[in-house]
Amino acid sequence: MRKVAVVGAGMTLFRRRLQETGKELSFEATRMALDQAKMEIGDVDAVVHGTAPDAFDGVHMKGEYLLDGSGGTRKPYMRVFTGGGTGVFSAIAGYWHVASGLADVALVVNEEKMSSCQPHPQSVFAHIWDPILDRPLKPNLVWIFAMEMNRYMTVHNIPYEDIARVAVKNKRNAVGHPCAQLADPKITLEDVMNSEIMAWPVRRLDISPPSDGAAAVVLASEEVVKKRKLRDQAAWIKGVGWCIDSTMWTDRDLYFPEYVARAAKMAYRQAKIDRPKQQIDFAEPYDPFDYKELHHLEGLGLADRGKAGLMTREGVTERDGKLPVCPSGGLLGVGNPIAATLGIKIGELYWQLTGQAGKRQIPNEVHTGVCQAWGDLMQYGSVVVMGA
Amino acid sequence: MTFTERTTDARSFRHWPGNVEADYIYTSGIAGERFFRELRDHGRLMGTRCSECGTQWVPPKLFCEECFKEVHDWVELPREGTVGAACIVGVALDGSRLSAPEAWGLVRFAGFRGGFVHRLLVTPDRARAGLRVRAVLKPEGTRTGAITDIRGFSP
Ligand SMILES: [Zn+2]
Repeated sequence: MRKVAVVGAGMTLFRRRLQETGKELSFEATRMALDQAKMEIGDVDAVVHGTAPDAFDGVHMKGEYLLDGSGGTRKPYMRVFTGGGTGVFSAIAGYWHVASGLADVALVVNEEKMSSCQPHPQSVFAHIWDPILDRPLKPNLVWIFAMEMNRYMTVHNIPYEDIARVAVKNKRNAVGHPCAQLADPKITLEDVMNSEIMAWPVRRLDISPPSDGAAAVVLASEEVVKKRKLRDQAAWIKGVGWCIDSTMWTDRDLYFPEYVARAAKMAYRQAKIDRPKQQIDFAEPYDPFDYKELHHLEGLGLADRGKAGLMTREGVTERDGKLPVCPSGGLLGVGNPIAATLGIKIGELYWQLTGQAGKRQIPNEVHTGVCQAWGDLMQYGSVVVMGA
Repeated sequence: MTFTERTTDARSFRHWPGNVEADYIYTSGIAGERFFRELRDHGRLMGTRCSECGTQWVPPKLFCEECFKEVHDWVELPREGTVGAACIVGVALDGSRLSAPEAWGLVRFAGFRGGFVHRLLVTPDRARAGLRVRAVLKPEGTRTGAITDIRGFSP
């Protein structure tokens, strides 16, 4: 396979409701990414679009609907969808377009407009449940997360405070992010702990709420990087992995994300990483809930099982710690327009590795980063390792 | 008796009823906002023009699908458009027979990419490609800033 680099990235504001249409948001992010890559749409060989359920935007077949704003017209174009996992998976799909040699430059565009869905995207999310076994009981999606969080806390005897600290860290990290919806420089542990209980043990501030936004990245082959003299602004994709576990969340032991561990194993093998704790300098795991950052750090092999909370308490995962985690501010701090989190996962790895992260730049030098997204029916992981 | 005839009444079998309840509020976007304001307040149909490649878009776009540059310039459409294609609808969305057939057309404007799919305010026998038409708007004061502010297109 050929070497593939990210050479440009862009993202819109993440907000609870934006006036722009999904097409306009897609355009804004894509134009930024192309400008950063010093390219025009004619330089792009193929376009991959990533966006979560049609039911959020309220436009059926929205990958096709968003095509014109995503620069895909009259090009090889596809939409990929792995639920929340799309935030990283679409870049993997873009990667294989270039790595295979089918394209020299691929554009990856992700969009979500969750504000269309009323009264709350939760109302359509309810329909991922089994229509006969579960739905007559009117379950809420947060129930799954509450039970998973509770199982994780129970198995490892983790205090709630160690989980809530993740929300505090990420909302503070997001203060330097120009797109952030949920940044809060003054937030305290007590604020999170005392916020409204949604479904015990999950509090309101443990969750990243719905959002509108878009993000895009430009991927290029090594030859393109050389020819266009983009080496100084290139971050290389070293390994990709993805994995899905059983459909039934009731079939899994919820305390450990096996799907992330397997996806990470696949990505690490390709990236020649056998000691992730020593070889990875920073991470952007998927953090729509604070406990998920910890869960995913353990799945990624960056923390021992049950110990990610302790690492957080000891400051290891702070931006200036030994292993900065979610230096972007993550979904908890920047926002959670599902697929558009591409901009705070792949995008943040790109900006950090090329020294373009501005106020968010990790003070220690970083050479290798890993990002991960989580989705489908809560049993899917996508992982990308990148290096400068 | 055909297979489809045997299974048309699926509700006669054992089943669980369900309903995917979903309501939406959409935004018309930055370009759409201006388009609908012009239509409601001034009775004008507007498009956008790409200053990079000159392509003119209707309905207006904030970006050019051709050269992928941001589009800033607004231009008014010519008064008359041309029916590019027509269809005569006899059956409603729910499969019921319409009391009278309806004429619908794809209306294009010289110099513009795109156009409107809208009602043709003519008898079905006159709804043909090539017909020159103008937009018929609801009276000022009753328009809300919606595509239905255009009643249809007529010669
Ligand atoms: Zn143009």
